Amino acid sequence: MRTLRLPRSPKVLLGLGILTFFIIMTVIGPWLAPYNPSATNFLPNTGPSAHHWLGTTSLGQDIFSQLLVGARATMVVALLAGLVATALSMIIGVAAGYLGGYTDDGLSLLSNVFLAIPGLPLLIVIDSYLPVNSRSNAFVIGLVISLTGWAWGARVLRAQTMSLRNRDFVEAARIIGEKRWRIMLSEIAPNLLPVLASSLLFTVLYAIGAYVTLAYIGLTSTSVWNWGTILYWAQSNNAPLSNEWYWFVPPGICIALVGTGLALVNFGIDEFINPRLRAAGLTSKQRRTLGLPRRIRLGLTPVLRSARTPAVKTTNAPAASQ
Amino acid sequence: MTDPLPVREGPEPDDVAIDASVAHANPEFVLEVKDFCVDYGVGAQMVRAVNEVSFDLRRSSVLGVAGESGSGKSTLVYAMTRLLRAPGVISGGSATLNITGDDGTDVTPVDLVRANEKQLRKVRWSHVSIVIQSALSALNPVLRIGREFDEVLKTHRPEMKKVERRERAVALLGMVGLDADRLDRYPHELSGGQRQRIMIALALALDPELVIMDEPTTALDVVTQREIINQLYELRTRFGFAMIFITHDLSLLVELADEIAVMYAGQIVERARATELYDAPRHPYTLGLLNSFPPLHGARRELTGIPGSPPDLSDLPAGCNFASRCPFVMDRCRREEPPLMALGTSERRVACWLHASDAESPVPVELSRLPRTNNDAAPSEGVAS
Amino acid sequence: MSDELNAPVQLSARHLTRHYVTRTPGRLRNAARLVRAVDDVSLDLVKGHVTAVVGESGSGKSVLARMLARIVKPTSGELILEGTHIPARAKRTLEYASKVQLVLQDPYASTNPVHRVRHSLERPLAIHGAARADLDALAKAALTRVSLEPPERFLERYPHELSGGQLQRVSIARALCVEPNVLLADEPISMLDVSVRLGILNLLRGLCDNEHLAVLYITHDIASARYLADEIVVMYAGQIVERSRGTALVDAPTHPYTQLLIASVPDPTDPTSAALRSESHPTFDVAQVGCRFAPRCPSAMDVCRTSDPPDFQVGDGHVSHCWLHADKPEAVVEMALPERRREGEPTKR
Repeated sequence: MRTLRLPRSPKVLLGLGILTFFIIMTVIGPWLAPYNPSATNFLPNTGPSAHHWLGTTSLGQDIFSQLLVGARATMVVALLAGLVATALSMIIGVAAGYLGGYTDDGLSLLSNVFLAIPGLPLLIVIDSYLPVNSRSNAFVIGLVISLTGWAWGARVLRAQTMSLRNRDFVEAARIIGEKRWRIMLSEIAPNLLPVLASSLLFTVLYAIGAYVTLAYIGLTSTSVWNWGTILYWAQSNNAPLSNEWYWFVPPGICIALVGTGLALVNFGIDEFINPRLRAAGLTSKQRRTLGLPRRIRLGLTPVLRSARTPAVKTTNAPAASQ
Repeated sequence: MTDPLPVREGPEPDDVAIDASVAHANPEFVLEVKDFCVDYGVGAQMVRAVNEVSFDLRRSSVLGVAGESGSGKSTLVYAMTRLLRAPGVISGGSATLNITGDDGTDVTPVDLVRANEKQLRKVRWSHVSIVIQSALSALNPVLRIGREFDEVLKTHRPEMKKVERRERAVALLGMVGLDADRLDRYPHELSGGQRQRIMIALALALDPELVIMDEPTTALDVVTQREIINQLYELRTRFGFAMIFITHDLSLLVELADEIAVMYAGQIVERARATELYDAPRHPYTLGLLNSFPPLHGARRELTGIPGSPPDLSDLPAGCNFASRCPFVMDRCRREEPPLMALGTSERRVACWLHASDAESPVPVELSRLPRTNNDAAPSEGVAS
Repeated sequence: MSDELNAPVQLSARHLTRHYVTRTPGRLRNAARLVRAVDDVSLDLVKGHVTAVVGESGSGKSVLARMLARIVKPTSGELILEGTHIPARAKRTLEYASKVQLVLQDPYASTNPVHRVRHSLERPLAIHGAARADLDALAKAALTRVSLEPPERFLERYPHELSGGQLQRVSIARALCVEPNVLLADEPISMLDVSVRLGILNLLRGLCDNEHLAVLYITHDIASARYLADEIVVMYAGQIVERSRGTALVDAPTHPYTQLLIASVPDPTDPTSAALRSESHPTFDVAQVGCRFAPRCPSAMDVCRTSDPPDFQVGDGHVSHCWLHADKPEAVVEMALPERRREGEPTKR
């Protein structure tokens, strides 16, 4: 693949930093947690202190440990749901866009139906049909969430595929005799990677929201710790009313931060696709010394302030031309 | 097409201070360009697209600029009129437009490079206008043609009344050979040739002194191209504006232009009167370019064009940029870059060591033909074998 | 090796027609209009010969190429490949793809930007039965055939790293990978720089001479057609209006449209102005009677406006679709091309 350039934009670096932090938390969180999150043998309802960095719950559990351990389930389920949903949207979207005809009609109908049905009530209904013991299975929950999250991506990918379908290189592949499924997989799909990446990020965002909501309502098993469960317990013990901010604020901030990180990285993908959005490789300091305006306006081509630099020429002998 | 400059409120940007001041203008020329340099990007990844280009354009004359991709011909004119998009920057030189006042005698030089937004707006479209390369898609698809004319005239001549604007639009359409009913059409209802004529009419709306055309006929078929060229010729004779015509088709320029400048890798490599350049090229690139057009008459022989590929501007060799593709290359060409030098006493210019006064070997016979002495004599056909 | 392969005519088209139905949106009478993009075109593509089709955009030449490649189905008419009739409704087979290949106009658009050159060459080889072990060598051989040397240097590149001329050679190499007998080229040089165009034209000529391909060269530039072709066909509004062997129709055009084309080409050695009537563009409606070119023709007569002329034989191998030549005998569609002759040309390039 093309060489990956490390993005220079501060937005993207910030987003990547946030996500990296949470991924580390996911991996080593449970190992770092000072106590068992379910252990109830501590003094209940204490604020942040040296022993309990985020205080304890009404049941005497350490909130900081809950946060660290809960990161894993939250992130894993969200990522899993995002991946499955994106895979589904790619299969359905590309097939609908490329094959056209009745296939397109049928698949579009399917995705429109899933788009129209409100996601959360559907989740609740599906979840209520699940046997109780599988509600603790993160994978099952992840699959259920992905069922409601693929439709939007499928529409976007279908539109992209339809525009790619008429490009010359697809016609060229048909001319040499390539089979349809190979064209979809090998010619069209790689050109969809930027859109797919963006779709994945947003689907993961959606999945976190959905999972936390399900847990907050109490539809997931409370034996598996995630940030939504912390909020569930906080809510049912009236934490907001008793001003126990250290209980419900930290998980809320974590969720918000992960969402922000995903959105910031999404900016970077836009710039990666469209090099014109990149700031011509200059920091603002460099631009000031050269006399260039902060934003370059159309119709006012900038003029360099410094003395003209001569053209740089390589001193090697010219390469043998074709 | 509306004025490309967005109308903004707020303070004007500071005048950018650059080294040399503008030499006093020569009113005989409508445009004087000196040592003009344009880069894409700055710093380590800078690529020089136009390298120290200088030329003068007489009033009412036509300059044809010929070149291929990477030659810098489009970049040159867009940068000159400050329409170049990011990451293009002007990195040196000047481009002075000598505009005449309303009475026709008072000549004011305006350095387009140093001009601020207000000065540019004063000059744009009234004194210099441009027909861009993608002119066929430059018309707003949701506006009727009449509205385009209306916007241009309203912006630059706010004192005109609506009726006067309509009259002027009808007159302009008549000038390019279109009926007045075209004003009520949408762009998609018109053919490519008609749209191109409308772009030309818009460019002439304010009777400018200089019209720049960037490959106006490239996307059109040859018959429509012929009509447009004839129309341009007639308009120029009638209104007397100067024209810069950019194309890759040299044979078109020989018919239309008074002078031709051939560009390669961001520099002018040859400049001469049109018929002289066609009959008697002096630069090997010009010769190769002329030989790249299969003739319509005469015996069929194998032609070779120019071997190699157009240059990579980020990786130019030392010495002459054309050396790797030149059939007459010498050692000196690979070491030193030839400057644009005058040929004898004429106004011809060529950037080639073959024609240096201290050249060791004689000039190859293909590059020392004589131009036709009068316009009626038919020149020798094809390249001497 | 059956006898068909030694026959000179590789691919024949007989009375190919292609209609499109359009509806003008937003009109009260939303009647369907039939647009005839290609109307009754017959052609022979002969081994070792280049046939050039010259026409403006909208003349139907690209649709014709796609019908010959069978990626567009004709409304009527038939194709004959190496003596075998191909039914119009039949699906395009892999075998047909291995015999007839098409090269498109824009090299950057016709190669997938995410794949290296190697992928573009190995796919057709693999599809048409090459063994995995041979793919690398065969790909290199294909690049050598189009003079991209050393081939290793180009195999690992991405399309955007090559120049237009190089990339068009890659496209041609890709088409050659399947070892076709017929190569169709739809305006292969119009998007390339002027100085590299001749290289591609000479390559096509070389492939035709040395490997005995039948080449169809589609262009809007009559000068390049004259340079390259053994037979030239001029199309206007979906019909063939004039055809000839060699350069006869360029040297002595008989149809007013051909005359207009030639007069419009910029020719600094001979500046005569073209006689034009009025500006109008061709219409393809079935409803229009008479000769398609009549509205623009300076020599139009009454009969031209009422009935479409037949083909008249105006010279040896030279046919004109125009009432001006009604005194000549009518031409028969089948054309046999004799040994080609070109003036003052060495026998081998």
